[in-house]
Amino acid sequence: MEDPSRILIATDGSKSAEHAAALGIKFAQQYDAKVYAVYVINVTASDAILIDEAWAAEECEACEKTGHKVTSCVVEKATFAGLGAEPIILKGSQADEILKFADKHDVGMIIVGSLGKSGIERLALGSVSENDVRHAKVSVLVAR
Amino acid sequence: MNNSIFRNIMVATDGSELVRKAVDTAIEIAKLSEAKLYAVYVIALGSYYNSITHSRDSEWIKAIKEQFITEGKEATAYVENAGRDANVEVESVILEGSPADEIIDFAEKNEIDLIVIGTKEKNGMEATAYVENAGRIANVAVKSVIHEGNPADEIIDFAEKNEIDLIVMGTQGKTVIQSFLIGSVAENVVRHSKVPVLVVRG
Repeated sequence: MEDPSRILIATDGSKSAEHAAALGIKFAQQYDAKVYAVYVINVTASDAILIDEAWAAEECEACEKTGHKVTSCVVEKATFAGLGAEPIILKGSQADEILKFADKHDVGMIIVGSLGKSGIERLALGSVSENDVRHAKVSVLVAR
Repeated sequence: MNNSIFRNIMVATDGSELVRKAVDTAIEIAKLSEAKLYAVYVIALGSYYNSITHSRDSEWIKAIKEQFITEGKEATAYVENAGRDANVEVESVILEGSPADEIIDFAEKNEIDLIVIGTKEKNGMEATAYVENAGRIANVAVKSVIHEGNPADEIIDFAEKNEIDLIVMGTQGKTVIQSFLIGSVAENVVRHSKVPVLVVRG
């Protein structure tokens, strides 16, 4: 692993994402890396369910609000730790978007929580994290 | 780094070239956080016991185990040396059992706060070594070949180019294909560990 000069912290506002963020910031401090706080609005999930367009738009707006809230929370912590940080809100399938972004922005390490917000307890690993570990070209830290 | 986030780090090694990057990363992180590093090698005899219960003698198992112990010592010594160069305290640990289980168990019992593991494992080498050994006992000439790529394509390609008359393979192909993306040990550790796991691309 090369020294990661850019670290991506995936967050969904869940408890495990919070752990991931704390760990990620400490890692970033070690490498003096820039932090991308990434939130992905899972539009593919709502597409199939939401028929009413107005409602969909409202839902989307709510998701964006959540995204701003949780990413700025991570950015704030990173800034407090003396790091450069940027909030990123993406739309699409979570794993795909995280990986695409990491690829495009030369991210050296991806940090994810083990369970997503909708975490299915029967799997110790959320599907987003699992996809990341399988397909990422960069190192992935799965926080607990 | 004074606010040490990791005090006890462990790196899993199988003695192959494939884990070098994971070892380097583990040492670097241990150095940065002034942590102690455990170099863990697991002797996995499970598959050997299961597949040779009736036809092969215990001498053979003993010989294989000896071979694993030697390999384990070499693998952990490599980490120790790298640690010495980087001024990192390294403790070698050799365990026996199912690798993922042993790694997780050790991490929990020894207050490990980060597990570093590579994505690639020497599945290929171990698998071919197994056939080689079985061939030696049955007096059959075995030539080991390891290819990288899409398993089905590579197998067909190799067969065509080498005038192969018969391809023999098991039905449980899925694990083979999966192991090309991420090793089964790494996968199991990520799934079941209660400790953070850093998966390093090989």
